[in-house]
Amino acid sequence: MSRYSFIKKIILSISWLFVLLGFTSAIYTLIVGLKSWGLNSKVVWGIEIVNFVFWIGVSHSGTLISAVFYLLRQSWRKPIHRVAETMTIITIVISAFFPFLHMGRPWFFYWLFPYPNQMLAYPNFMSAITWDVIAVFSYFILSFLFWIFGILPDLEYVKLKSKIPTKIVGKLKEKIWIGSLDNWIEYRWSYHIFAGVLTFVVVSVHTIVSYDFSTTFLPTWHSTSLPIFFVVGAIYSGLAFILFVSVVLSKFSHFGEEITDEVREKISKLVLSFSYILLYFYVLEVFYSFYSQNFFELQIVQARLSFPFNILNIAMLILLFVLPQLFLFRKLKGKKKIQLLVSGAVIVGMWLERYLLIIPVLAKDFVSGYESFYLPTFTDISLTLGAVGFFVVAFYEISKRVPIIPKNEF
Amino acid sequence: MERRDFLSRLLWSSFFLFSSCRRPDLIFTSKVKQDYFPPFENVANYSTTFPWSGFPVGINVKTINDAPFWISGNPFHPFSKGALAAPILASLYNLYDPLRFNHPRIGDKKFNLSEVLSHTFESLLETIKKGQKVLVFCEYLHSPTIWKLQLDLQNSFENLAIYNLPTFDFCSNQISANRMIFDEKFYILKDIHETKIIVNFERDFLFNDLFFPFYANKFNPKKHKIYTFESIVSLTGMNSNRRYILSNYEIERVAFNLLTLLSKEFVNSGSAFVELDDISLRENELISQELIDEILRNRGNVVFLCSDFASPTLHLICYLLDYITNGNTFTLNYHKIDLSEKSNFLEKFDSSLLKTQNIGKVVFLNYNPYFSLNSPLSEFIEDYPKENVVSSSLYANKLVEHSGCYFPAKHYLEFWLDYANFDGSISAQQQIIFPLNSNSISTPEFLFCLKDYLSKRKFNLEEYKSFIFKRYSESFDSVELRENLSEGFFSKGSDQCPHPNLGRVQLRTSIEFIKQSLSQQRLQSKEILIIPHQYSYAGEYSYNIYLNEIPEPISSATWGIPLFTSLDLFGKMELLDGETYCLKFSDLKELVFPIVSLENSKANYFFYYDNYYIHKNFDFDYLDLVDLVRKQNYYYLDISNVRFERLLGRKIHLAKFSRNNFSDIKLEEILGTTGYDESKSINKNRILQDRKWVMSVDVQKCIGCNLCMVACQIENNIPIVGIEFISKERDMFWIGIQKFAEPKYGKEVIFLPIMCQHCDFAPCESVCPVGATSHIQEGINEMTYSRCVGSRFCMVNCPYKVRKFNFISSTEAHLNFLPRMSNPFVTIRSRGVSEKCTFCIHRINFAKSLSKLKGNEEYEYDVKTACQEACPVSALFFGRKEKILTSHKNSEVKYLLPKLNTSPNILYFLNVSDE
Repeated sequence: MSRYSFIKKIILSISWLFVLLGFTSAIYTLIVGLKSWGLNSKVVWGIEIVNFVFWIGVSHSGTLISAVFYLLRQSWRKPIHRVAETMTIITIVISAFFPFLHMGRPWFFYWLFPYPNQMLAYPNFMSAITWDVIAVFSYFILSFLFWIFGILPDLEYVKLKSKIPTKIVGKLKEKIWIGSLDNWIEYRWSYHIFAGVLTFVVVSVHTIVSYDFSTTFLPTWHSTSLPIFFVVGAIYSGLAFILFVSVVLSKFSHFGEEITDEVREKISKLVLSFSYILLYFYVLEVFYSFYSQNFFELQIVQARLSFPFNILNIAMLILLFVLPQLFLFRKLKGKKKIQLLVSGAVIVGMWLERYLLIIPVLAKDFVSGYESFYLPTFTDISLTLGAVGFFVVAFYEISKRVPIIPKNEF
Repeated sequence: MERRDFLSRLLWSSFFLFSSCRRPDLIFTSKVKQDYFPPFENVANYSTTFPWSGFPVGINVKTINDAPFWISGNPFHPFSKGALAAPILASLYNLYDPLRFNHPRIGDKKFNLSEVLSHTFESLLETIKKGQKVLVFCEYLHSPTIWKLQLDLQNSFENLAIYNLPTFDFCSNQISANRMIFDEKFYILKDIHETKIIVNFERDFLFNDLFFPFYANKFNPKKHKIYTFESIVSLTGMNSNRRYILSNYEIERVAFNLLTLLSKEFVNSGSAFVELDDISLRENELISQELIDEILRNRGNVVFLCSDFASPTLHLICYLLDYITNGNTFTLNYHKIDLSEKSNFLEKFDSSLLKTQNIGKVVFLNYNPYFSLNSPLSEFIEDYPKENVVSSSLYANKLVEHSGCYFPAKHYLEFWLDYANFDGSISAQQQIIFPLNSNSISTPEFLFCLKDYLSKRKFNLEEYKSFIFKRYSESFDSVELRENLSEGFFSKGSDQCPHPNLGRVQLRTSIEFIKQSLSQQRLQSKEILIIPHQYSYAGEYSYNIYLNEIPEPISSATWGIPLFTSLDLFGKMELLDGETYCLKFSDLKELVFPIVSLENSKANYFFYYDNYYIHKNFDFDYLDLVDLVRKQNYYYLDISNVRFERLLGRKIHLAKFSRNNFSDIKLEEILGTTGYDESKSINKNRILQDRKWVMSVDVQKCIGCNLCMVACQIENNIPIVGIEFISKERDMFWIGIQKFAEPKYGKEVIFLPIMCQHCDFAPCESVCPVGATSHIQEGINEMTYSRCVGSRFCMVNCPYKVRKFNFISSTEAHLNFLPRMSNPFVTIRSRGVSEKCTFCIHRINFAKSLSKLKGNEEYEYDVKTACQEACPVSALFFGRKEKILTSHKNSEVKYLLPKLNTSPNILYFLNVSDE
């Protein structure tokens, strides 16, 4: 255990370093503007949008496990559903941060909300970004409420040091959650409704995020299959994330004993099956391009198959579709190292997948056929790392204060 | 911006406030109708003349509060007829550039102008009295007043020699050739207005030429056919119907073959050379029977042009070709510019003069030997004692370091002068603005004061104006003067010059000459050919940020012009494209340049477009290259390279504007006949506007000179982002010109100007989260900068990629942001805002309010956009849709990326050639 606690300290300190780096870069970006990023006049959405799509995708599996699997009566979800929910709210915060920073004039971010004003200047409700803002915002509120709601039975285990939250928790304990039978009956049916609403929201949010891309004119984005492709990708990356986190938790904390091998194996199976679904969509996308013989779609396919994107493409295919096949072997499926390897690979692979979805399409000029060159700068990379660091730190800090493995048997 | 910068700008702008708003006492408004800006009484339009390499170009200058902010061509001017060259428009920057506000100096001490002048004149007088020579080198201005001053001075003082040297040196080789052939000193300008066939030997008359404004406005691709033989890559070559790529020495031979073949054809007409049969001709498939037939068919309407840097042999062959093809039925307009009596115009400065004569003082008046391809003079200056050199120039450049006495020169909008047009009429240069630098002096003013001082021992600068008005009124009374000045020229023009006299006897001797010179093969590989470039002109435009930022039309490089060579040579010498190399020459110091390979070139040497380096002797400006070493991470540190002075200490980096490269995509793929197909649209509620503004682009007319880009940049206050941003592809050009190598449209290269298409169903409008971009009634896609939050969704969804993003604010972006320079009617954009072509909405609004003021019907007004006004070949036209469609009845309208069903409002007219 001592060896692991040493590693834990190292990981935490690196994460804090990343958070500091990311925070400094964010402040720097706000001061000097977007010239500090690697954007140019063609590739105007850089890896910050990749990060946004990736993190919001990761957040989906939390709701999938806590809400959808609840409705489907999957009892094995019990030990990990709060891990997944916690992940959800952290990742939504991270993902919402990127579009904010990504704006040319972030100090006017409130213009994106439909607040009443004298000039009657409302946001454009035809724009996918407006839908996006509303969807992500409501998703965050609902997930947060659901998370709080799930904690209610475990309130006595919540340990907080700061004053106001402790007071709130105390009042909740006194007035709302006494643990009576009435409490439990009400809790049960309202959990049902919550889960039902969230199921709709989770599908719609990522569909709406995909509308950012599918409502445009750009080849390979402009497709009706893109939303479902996005949702599948999101769940795939989220499952991999949960697998990764649960393996790590089982190594580094005493909670690990609760997350049994069976649970992890079940998630591994899901990961494997989603790799096939995603592969199907991936093949479908290429098929669409060749079947339609659309000149510009073919150009994008060609761009993805040429340097430098071909290297990333091959890496992505190996990470996303080849490595998960290790789960086909019964012996390997149960091994924590293999689970860690595959889930890590899928996480990186999904990030690459988002990168390859966005950057090559933007880099192409359809009139000249010219492909502009995009290279992330130090600021870009440190923001990305900062997000990873923030996730680790936030998850650690929350898991210290809140029972991350549910104590009740609901 | 640093504090020091800020303070200096504050200082300059306050300086402008107090000094620049002064308008000259006498100024005549233009005859050209004030088509816009009616609500502003302090907006005025003046017609004047701007020298383009010394020759007059008629311009109209628009001023607000008496400060010029826009220049357009004067359509009534007999020579230029409304055409401009990019540096003339961009020279507004030079007018306000803080770098030019220098103090007159003697040694290192600053003095007032009058003190420096009297000191200079006194010392010149002493020198003359001592019996030593005084050499005055002044910029060449084709002006009778300067000639008169010069002659007066030279006649009264033997020891005073005044040389007019061309700053933009193109004509010198032709003049030398003419002198060899005809024993006369003149320059021939061949008019292409009436011609049907132009056979061109390496002359880039559509871009990089002394007479670009003259040729550009007469050029009509639908009327002429151009056949170009060239080894370099030029815009004219790209614009020709047929382009033959040869190596340099082959061109003379091909020309000669053409001469012999044509002479055989004309044997019956009595002007042929039967004797030529004995010359063994190299087999040449290039000259097809078709070309000869074409020339025969259009006899009397063929013109042969050859580049100025060609040898006298080629010049002679061209004269002969003209003579035998057009013969007695000659209808061409020849403009002969006689230079023998009027001025001391030197084709090349004779360096032996410097050694033989007893020279006391040397004076340079707005003439810089470092720029003007005149090596002996610059070498002479470097060794010459500083005290004996006097110089004046717009900027304090390298010459100033070598001169003991210096005074700043005036901008051409700041003084009065007259110019001689080729038809005999006189152009007037008005003083549009009171000199911003009160300590500056122009070339004619200096000569005038010098003349006064040497004869009367006193001078008065104020008398110059009365002197020039006296000269004006020598032939016209004052009433007429006012009228003439408002037109910009005195219409007294007359005739054209006859064909130069080529007698039969002379011809035979010239054939001998050709035979001899043809046998020599002059060029070897590893040589460098230097061609003057119009963007560098006489040096002052090297400082011009607009000209530096606009992509060079041929290479699309910005902020630094590379050395070009052919792909073959690249392979042979194992060079890397775009890398920097150090070139070592046998007789020169080292030069460091990025080298770029050009397709479609057969040059077995390097060539370079600039004015800076040197003509060695008459024959050629080829320099022997001894060695070539690759340099990495090299920094511009050579101070003598003034063009790059701004970039000192920066890494050599070739920034390329992406859109200017040759497209991989075929025109058929992106141009289609239906802009909008209702059956395929989801949006059925299309509002059809009757009075829609559209822009038509006559694609076959566009010569790709990038002048529209300069005009757009200046008119719309588009930020200059500098070398770093351009190399990161963060350019801000609202117009891009895309090249397509597709000969089937009748030209070697098709240039497609691409600006915002103002689509009826604009993809950018629906996606903007805050509705910052929207449609106005007359079909224009508007951009509300103040509402934009910078989500860049519009840029993503624009299939034409014409929207640009302000990574930095406008004030930060201009390397030297000059408030006076910017157009007061266009907003300056803040950081984080997206922008694009507005169809010059401010001009439309002004025109609308003008028509309302006049009480016209609501929609009866015409508007010219900035790009349309600047286009020298009038390829762009802005107007109501119905009007444009009726005027282009015969040709087919095409739209960009029609499959997207966006219904664009830029109409491209492009027909497949009949051939």
